[in-house]
Amino acid sequence: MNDHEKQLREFIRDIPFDAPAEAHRDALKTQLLNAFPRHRLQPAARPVGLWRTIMTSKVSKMAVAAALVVAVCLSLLLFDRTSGVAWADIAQRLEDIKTVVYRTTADIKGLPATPEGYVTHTEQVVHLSYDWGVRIDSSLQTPKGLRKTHTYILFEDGEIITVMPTQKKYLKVEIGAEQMQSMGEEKGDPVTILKAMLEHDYRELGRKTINGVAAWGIEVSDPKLGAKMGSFISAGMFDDIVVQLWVDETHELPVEIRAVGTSKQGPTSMQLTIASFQWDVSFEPALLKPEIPEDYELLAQAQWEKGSEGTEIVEVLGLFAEFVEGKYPPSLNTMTVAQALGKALKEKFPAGSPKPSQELITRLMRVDRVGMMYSTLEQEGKDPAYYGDKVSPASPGAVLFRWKLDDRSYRVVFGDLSTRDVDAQELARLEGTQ
Amino acid sequence: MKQQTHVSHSPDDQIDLIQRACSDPDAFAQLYLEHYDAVFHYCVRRLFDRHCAEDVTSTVFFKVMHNLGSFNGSMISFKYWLFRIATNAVNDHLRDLKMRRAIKQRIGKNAVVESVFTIAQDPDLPKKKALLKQAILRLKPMYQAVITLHYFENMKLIEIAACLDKKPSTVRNWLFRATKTLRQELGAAMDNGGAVS
Repeated sequence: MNDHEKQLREFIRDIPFDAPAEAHRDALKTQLLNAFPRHRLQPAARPVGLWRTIMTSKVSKMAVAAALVVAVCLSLLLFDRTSGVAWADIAQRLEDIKTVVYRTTADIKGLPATPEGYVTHTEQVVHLSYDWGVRIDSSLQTPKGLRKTHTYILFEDGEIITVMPTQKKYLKVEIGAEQMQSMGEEKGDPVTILKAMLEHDYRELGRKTINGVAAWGIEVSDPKLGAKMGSFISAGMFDDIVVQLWVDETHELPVEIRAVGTSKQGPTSMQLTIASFQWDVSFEPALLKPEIPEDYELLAQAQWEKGSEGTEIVEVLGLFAEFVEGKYPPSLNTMTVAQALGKALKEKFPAGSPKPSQELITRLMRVDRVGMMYSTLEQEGKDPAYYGDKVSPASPGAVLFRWKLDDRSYRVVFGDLSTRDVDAQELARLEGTQ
Repeated sequence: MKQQTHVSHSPDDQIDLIQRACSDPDAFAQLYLEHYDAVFHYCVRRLFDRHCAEDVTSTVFFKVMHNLGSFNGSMISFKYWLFRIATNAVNDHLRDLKMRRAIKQRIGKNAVVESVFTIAQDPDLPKKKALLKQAILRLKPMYQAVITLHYFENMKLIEIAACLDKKPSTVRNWLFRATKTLRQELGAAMDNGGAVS
């Protein structure tokens, strides 16, 4: 419950309303019964599904067949030289989808806490209900073995919970109502990916057969595409992203999404495939609710509120001041930040050393979102700029990071992580001296 | 005041009652009595006026009577179907600008009258109620509906979505915006000595 809701509940508490009046209830009953349509028949049995009605009627079956033939002929006539795939129609059709199950596989090079050049293979099975939430069952092949996690995004509760059964631990992130609303609008699911791709310049890839299915593809290679991709390829995760989307030409639903992400100033890259889609498949809502045994330990709990992005980025930079001596990450994409910090933490906490405190883990959880937070500042017109490639703690007076607070002022973070709020003129002067 | 009697039926009995109510006046009367209070409560919390609420409750049950044959579902979804009809009826009612003005005029009068009855409990309640009325009636009709269903009927998002035939994500967005707007209106009114700007 957010503050507005709490305050409103408090405000309306005890406010009295009129109770129903017996006189009106009885008078209306009499009026209704006097007007009751006595000729009416018993209601029909439950209506049979439209499709079943069509297919059990010989006449309508033929009509459907004829309509299909006409439609196919028309499409061949009109769209013979193109894919015949009406992308906007597909986006609209996907809007009506209530659930989807799909599988992702990814090979990620340069994941934090892995040896240099190590390629981490990960697989995920995603159950997504646009009404209830998301469950992501992940397996991650690390140098130390297979790691499994179950992540739940609970729309109504405003929580993301990640359960690690092997370790008997779990993490919880509470999401503010405004942030949850924003996530609802940018889900990072196949529907959002398709819509995001159509908003960018895309090129048609032509036909390809995928697992025996004739598909037509498009490709987008715009670094800003990541802003709406969510999951692995979320905003700010990589510097460059190329995404291909393949749609089944017959059923006009996505059959495969492939993405390649790379970061310019870090040895990180990723190849991702999303496939095995099952659209509008039914599954038990209980599947989307985490069941956490009592002996599981809450590893850390964080909050994610909209509007605090700039401050949270500064806190991530604070981790560098603490653990990575002498430099800040060259860019604020998540993989670069995580890679640099992961290396330092591995040295700080070698095998056998005491485990990091809950407070530190909570702080580290922000790293996952650092690229996304920077992208949010960009999207909201807060004019962020980051100079970690040339500013270090050794230059305490230089501007390391800044973003716009309101129409008149910017918050400037200096090399020593001190902050000052300045107007645009002063900002220009400070940045001009660098 | 005699309260509605809640009869406990099995789900099958309830569905049977709905089906019989299409052609059997006694069954319809039973169905009506079981749901009258819920519909009235919803209407009065949307309209803040007993007489308007009774008018709209009448409209709702006439619509139910004429359209019950087209209803196809369970007892639970009957409740949502009923609230959907009630929401549309209230919204239609509010769309009449003349009626809206009349409600606003009554707000002031009612606030004074009610204070006579409620002063023994909390002298601020009539004033708060008047502020709430003004602030809620300034919202868009669908925002008013989600506010009433959530805060007064204590429905969850999924239930409100079923009532309004919308996706829960849409309802969540509406509820978030409506709550925020309403809270700000009320806050400003309280700061302003009780006048909604």
